[in-house]
Amino acid sequence: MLAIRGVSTSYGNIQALHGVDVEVRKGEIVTLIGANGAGKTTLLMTVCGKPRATAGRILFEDRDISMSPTFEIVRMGIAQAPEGRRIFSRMTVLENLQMGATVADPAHFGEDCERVFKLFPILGERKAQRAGTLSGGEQQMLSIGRALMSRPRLLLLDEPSLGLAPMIVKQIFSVIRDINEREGMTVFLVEQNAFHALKLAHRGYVLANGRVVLQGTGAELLANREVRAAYLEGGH
Amino acid sequence: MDVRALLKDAGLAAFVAFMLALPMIGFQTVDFSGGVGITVVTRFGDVAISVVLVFVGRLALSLLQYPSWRPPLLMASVVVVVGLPLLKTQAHYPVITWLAVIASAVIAVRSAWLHFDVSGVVGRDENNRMGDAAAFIGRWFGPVFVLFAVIFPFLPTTSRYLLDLGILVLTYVMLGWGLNVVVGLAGLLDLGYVAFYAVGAYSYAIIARDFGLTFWACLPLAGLFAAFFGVILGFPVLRLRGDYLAIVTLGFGEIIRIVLLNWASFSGGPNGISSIPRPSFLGMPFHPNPPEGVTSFHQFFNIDFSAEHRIVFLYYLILILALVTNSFTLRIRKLPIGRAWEALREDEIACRALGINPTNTKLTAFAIGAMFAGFAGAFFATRQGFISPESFSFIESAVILAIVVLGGMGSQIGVVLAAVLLIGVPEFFRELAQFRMLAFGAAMVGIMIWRPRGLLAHRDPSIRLSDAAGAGR
Ligand SMILES: Nc1ncnc2c1ncn2[C@@H]1O[C@H](COP(=O)(O)OP(=O)(O)O)[C@@H](O)[C@H]1O
Ligand SMILES: [Mg+2]
Repeated sequence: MLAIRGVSTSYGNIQALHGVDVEVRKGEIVTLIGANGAGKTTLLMTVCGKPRATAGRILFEDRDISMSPTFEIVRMGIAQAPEGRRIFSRMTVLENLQMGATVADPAHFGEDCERVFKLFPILGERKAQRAGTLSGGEQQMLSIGRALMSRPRLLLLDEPSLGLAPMIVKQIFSVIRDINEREGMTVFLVEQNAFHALKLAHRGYVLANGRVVLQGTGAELLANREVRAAYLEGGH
Repeated sequence: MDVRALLKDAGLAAFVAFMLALPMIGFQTVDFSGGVGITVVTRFGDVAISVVLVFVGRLALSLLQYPSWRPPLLMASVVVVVGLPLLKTQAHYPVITWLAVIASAVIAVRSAWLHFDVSGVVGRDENNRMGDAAAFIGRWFGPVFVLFAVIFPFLPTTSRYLLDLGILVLTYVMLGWGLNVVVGLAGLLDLGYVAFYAVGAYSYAIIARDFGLTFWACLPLAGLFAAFFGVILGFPVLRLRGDYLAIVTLGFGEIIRIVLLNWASFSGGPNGISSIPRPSFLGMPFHPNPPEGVTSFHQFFNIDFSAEHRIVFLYYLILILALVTNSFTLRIRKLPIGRAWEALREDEIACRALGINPTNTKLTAFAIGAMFAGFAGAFFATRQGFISPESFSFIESAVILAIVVLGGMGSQIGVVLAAVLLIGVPEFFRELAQFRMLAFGAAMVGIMIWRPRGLLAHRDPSIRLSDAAGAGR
């Protein structure tokens, strides 16, 4: 479904990605783990067209999207819950969802809201609340819910566990599993929380200094000694 | 409470005041009586007074932050009891006494209010409470304001002067509402808004003069031209953000004015354009002796001619234009494009990730804001009958922006309040003569202290719970 082929990305003369290859197949949860500054966010943003890849190709459902503007890529069926959530804090929960539905058919709005509220009941209770006054976990749920409103075929999640309590992380990850298993949503999950991410994912990639250094099924990577040493030791 | 920190803070403010007052107030140049040349008179007494005033004022402001009502009340009483007789001796500045009394009264009321409101003193959600008040004002006062505006010309107290003032205020309300789309909703800081006002005014003047079209035919054209200029300017500059956008729009405003000033064959240069056609009521002019074959307004209605008819007509014209602007803005906020403006102001990256085209979205905001300025400009031209580049200087942009910011970015009712405050009230303070600007400045400082986010910094959700189902448009 999504094929990233030899993609390099630079910020000015700092190269953040060096020929990255990643493949996400339909119906899979694929995770990308890596330390801070490895280039995970850069890879997700490159898929969305900002910044642009300086080399390589990005194919979504066999169409090259590496030259398309961001808003067109979203229209093709890719939605992102960006790093740091980036919800519209002055707007209410419901308005945030409306913004998420920008590219969707307005006729589905009510139905899609119900779907989000079923996944995250707390959002249903907080419909009219200003999003900026939600807790961190609720904001993350809103960010994911907002992304789902465009009825994407591929969902990109950038560190949904960032700064959240373990309980909330569990809840969010179980929702991710839910939408994957029940609705067949394809998910590309970027995480530093390697343990949870690898347990959830069908396959995973390890990114270090802008290069894919390891790949395999979630279970393989969880068992891998290097992965354990680098990303799992220390209490996860 | 840390008394020493408070005193130190007030002392610092007094020191700054001293440094400013010494050259500006301390020395006055006066003409030699009868002779040639000037001499310097010192006014150190006045310097001392201003330093003391600043010290006391700063102290009072700091005390207001203190979560108890006694110290500020005590302070206010001391100012009134001790200060008043002292200031009375300065008989040639009655206005200062006046300001001191008002300030003390405000402080006293405010501290007494705190006393009755202790529950929420620490860490209360100022924003929410203000929001409730603003929502209340918006819901109930909006219709009352409109009703008042409609009957205003027929109130017995309304003189010709007040009617003119009403027209002026409404013009700024309309401009404020127009700019509110750009600055308040879309968050694009536009310092050259007056340029579009000028484009509208000159479009109307030139089209009406050279092609003989009526006001109603010219109005949409003026709006169209202004919107067109909005797009032309917007296209290259909307990639810029914040401060950079502000500077470029500022420059654009000046360019338009300077072109109008220098392109004499087109715009009349500094002499402007005069004898611009006046508007007519359904084709009936407001004229005591209309030309053959034309019925004038007073003849048609069989009433005596009065110059005031036209003023009343102009008043309703701008009222309608302003209300149209308002209802347009209120409607568009609920449409995807209006929501996208607000979202764009908050987070451009998130917007892009949701499939919004930021360039087009900003461009629409710019064009629509410009269009309303164009309408207002056409109205201005037909009302004045004469326009020149002088009417479109930067200060106009600044005043309109001040109205929007003071009103509380994005608040429609806030714009009305701010326009009344900024345009209407200073007119009433003309008796204060040279202290008018002082009172104005004091009011601005007060607002920025107590309402740093504007008079009515409240945002109404664009979607209510009851519309949730099927309101995805
Ligand atoms: N906007 C930017 N400008 C310059 N360098 C950047 C920018 N964003 C990220 N980088 C750099 O690119 C590298 C990868 O960053 P990022 O993709 O955010 O890592 P991760 O998400 O894995 O923590 C880092 O070295 C970071 O400093
Ligand atoms: Mg990151």
